[in-house]
Amino acid sequence: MPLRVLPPEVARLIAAGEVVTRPADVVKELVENAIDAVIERQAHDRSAEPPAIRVEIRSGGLALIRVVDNGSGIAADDVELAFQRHATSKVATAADLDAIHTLGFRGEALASIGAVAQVQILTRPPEASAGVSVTVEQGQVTSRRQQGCGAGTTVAVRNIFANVPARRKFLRGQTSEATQISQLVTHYALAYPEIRFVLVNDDRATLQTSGRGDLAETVVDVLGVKVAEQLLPVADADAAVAVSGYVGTPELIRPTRSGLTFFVNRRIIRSPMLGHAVTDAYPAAMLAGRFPVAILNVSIPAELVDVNVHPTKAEVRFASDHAVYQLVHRAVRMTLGDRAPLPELALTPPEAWSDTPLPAGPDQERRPAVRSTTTDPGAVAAAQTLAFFAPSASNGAAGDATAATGARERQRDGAAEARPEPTAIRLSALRPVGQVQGTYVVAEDDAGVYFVDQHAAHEAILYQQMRETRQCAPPAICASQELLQPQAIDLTPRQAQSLAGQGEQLASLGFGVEPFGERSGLLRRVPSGIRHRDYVRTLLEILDLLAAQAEDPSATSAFDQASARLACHSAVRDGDTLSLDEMRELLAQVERQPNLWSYCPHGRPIFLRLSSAQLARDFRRR
Amino acid sequence: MKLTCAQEHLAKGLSIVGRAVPSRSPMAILSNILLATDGGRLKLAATNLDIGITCWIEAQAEDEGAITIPARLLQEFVSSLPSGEVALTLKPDRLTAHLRCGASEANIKGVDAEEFPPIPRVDGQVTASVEREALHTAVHQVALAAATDETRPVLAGVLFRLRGGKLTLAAADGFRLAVRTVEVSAPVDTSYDVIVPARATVELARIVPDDAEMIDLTVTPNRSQVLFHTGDPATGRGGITAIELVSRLIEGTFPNYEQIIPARFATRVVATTKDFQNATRIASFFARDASNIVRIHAQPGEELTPGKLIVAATSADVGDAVSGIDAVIEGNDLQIAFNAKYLGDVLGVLNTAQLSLEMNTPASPGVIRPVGGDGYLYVIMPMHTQNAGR
Repeated sequence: MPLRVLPPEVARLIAAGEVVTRPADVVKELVENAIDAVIERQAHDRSAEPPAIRVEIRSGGLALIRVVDNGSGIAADDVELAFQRHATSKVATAADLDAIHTLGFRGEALASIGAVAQVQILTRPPEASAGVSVTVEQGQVTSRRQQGCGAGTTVAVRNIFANVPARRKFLRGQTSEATQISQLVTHYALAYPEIRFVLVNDDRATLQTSGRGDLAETVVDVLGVKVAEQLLPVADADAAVAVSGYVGTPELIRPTRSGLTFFVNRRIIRSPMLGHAVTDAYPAAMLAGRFPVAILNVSIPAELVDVNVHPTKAEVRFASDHAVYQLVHRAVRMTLGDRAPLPELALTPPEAWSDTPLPAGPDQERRPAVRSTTTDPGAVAAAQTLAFFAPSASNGAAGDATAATGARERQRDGAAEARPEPTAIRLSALRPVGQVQGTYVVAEDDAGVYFVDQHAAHEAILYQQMRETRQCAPPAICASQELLQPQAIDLTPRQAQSLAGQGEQLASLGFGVEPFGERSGLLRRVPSGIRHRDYVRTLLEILDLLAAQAEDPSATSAFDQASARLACHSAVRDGDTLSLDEMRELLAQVERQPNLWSYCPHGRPIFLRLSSAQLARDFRRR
Repeated sequence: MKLTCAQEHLAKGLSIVGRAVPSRSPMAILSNILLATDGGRLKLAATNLDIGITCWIEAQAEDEGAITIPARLLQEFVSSLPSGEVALTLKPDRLTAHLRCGASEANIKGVDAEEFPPIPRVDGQVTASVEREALHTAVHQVALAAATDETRPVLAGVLFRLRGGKLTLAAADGFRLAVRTVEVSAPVDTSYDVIVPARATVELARIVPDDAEMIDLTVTPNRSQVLFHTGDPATGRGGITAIELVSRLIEGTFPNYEQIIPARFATRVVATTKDFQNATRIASFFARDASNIVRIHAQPGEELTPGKLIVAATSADVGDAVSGIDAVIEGNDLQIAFNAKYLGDVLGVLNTAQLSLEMNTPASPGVIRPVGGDGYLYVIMPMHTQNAGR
């Protein structure tokens, strides 16, 4: 076949294919444009109406996608230009590409969408007296007329991929497309709490945020109270980079990475590196192949990040991956380790009482859902709200203003709701009261009553100790106890192999074991403190773990997992009766661990707290 | 059923058999005590199905009969009565016991004695008679080394080995071994190894009264049960005429412990038991946070200076403590580490003023024996840390 230059309509379709492969891509491009537009308008006119973006879809976006904003609009004369490739108002010179503050910048969005669908734009800049409506089909303008409308832009995309049957064939079902779109809008709603988002799917409003600039509130709006209650605020910064947002408690675990949402300068991105930074901050054994939930924004000066590396801008490149990883990891770690709140215990009154309506209190208190973990939640929550996702200084004056107002409102709300109880761990001098069900230690301090899972608490202490032993330099080995008589152990070939190759790892855990024939080992020493009954089983499990790591070196640290396993087998068991002295000792050990997780290495909570105030409320003493 | 007995005797008998009453059991009847007339005496019995304790007290019985009564209520009631005669009669329904003593009387509802699980009978010839004092001490010194879990059932028991007129008790939990040999009076020409659950031996030591003289052991021919018997129906003192404890035996073979005991030593320490015990206790406070490791340093003396035994513990979080005690040390300078609990356990049960500690290397067992005492020894395995031996 002879070579030839492609006709323009074919070239257009090919280019469009890079940007637009499914309805969600259209929504992404349009919503990003809308966000840029509303922010631009706020920046010029503080008295403008509060920013709002409405997304409407039908049949998963295949029949209709309509995005309505009340932003700065497009001047009547420029509308057709917007449909040309590389037509943009956001970048003028090559230098601008090094400091991009807007979401869109390439000028490809409308051109690409226009190539694969029928697009109608209705737009009016606030200062213009009348709007203009332009319809484009397959890249050609088919209609243009003046029309009255509100300030802002409405883009309606119909019959997407009608002219690209191949693409249409590869789409998943309508529900799947709708889910994608919903997730996308959710993410942007979280990134921009100061913009009011509405998503209407087949005439049903499925998502609605207040747009008051308060992230905590937005989190409740989009994720629900239940999830929001299990989120912990993250905020940390170094000289150049700041990270803020929320991570889930170790209880909030998902089977996939779907709960990990990252923004860089409030642009949603995919980043395996950030995923690792978060996941690695959780105890490996707890996750065991599952993933935590995180919604984090990395604020980074535009010159330290390149957003122009991916056709749909789904990935970015940092000047220093390492620095960003370190910061995010540290921030999440601190949030989880030092300040994870104790899960609160809610008392349910017996059924018989329920005909008496409870005071309105509890419901109102549900509202501030995302718990603060500091000593003065009211004030700090406000401060965090200010910091969180606050637009960077260069483009965000308007956002700041709205966020600040929201925060002040919240602060007042918080005061009115009067729930200034710190829920942070402050375990000074817990007094053991007794043990219930052979499993939980009940303790109290001045602030409330605590239920402590004896096994989980002990396990967490041991795990922490092992990690510390490991981390000191030179790495110490765990103390071990010699056996009276060496014990022969039968091994699978896999276990035998890992014994042959990993004797050093085992020794550092406190096991003294040597190969003894083809398929067995001779156990001479065991880690001190391990329960008698479990040491052989523990050793076999650890050999399996080490074998798995040898086969797949990229697996998360087998040592961490092995430590967790060992801690579990060394800890007191459910059903072990503890004397009051033993309970006191356990609680004292917990108190001595400065970085103790409130969760055991398996991710189960260690403490449940019933605050004195909650007790008083439930007994209607006040 | 109609009888009278002394309140003190009844209270004491109930506290003895009460040791066998399980604190929680799915079988409600087990929380009862069986009361029955038996040849003009009152027989009390209780069982948790692992062990059964039976006790006979002096009584004047007018009418035969039997009933079981909730242990706790009966014990509380009887122990609160004034000293004097207690009259016990069964109501016509045969399910309610009527007790009267002094100004108090009570009706206590019980359960038919027929429903009480029979305590296994152990017939046969007495295989060994041991002085109470000797057996009591031996159990006390040995049972502490038994394992507290059931992973290897034989280790949760105490070996009773009868050989050539001597009875040897041994227990080991995998990290330490305790062995004690006692003389058998009236040696019988038989030998056997049986493993008695450690808990049964501890209960035995607890219930046998101080004034008992001999304890007789009987093992069933099929080696499934052991009976400990003390007292004589005719000459019983303190109103308790006889006590029996029946226990199941643990099946299996006890490890060959003799090969574990080192035959020689490179370092031998002789120290005052009390000093060593105090030093270990002090170290244990600091060892709690450090895997329970107590470090021992035996420093032989010079011509003019006595030997020193240094007992130390270090915790990264808490701090450290060192005690140096005078000791006679033969052989090499040696550093070794032991588990504070295992060390403390044995130091608490030695009944001689001095003890000896024999060792070879930091990785081989230490042996503790009473000096001038009798056939007791305790083997303790060392611990290892990065710092041990340095």
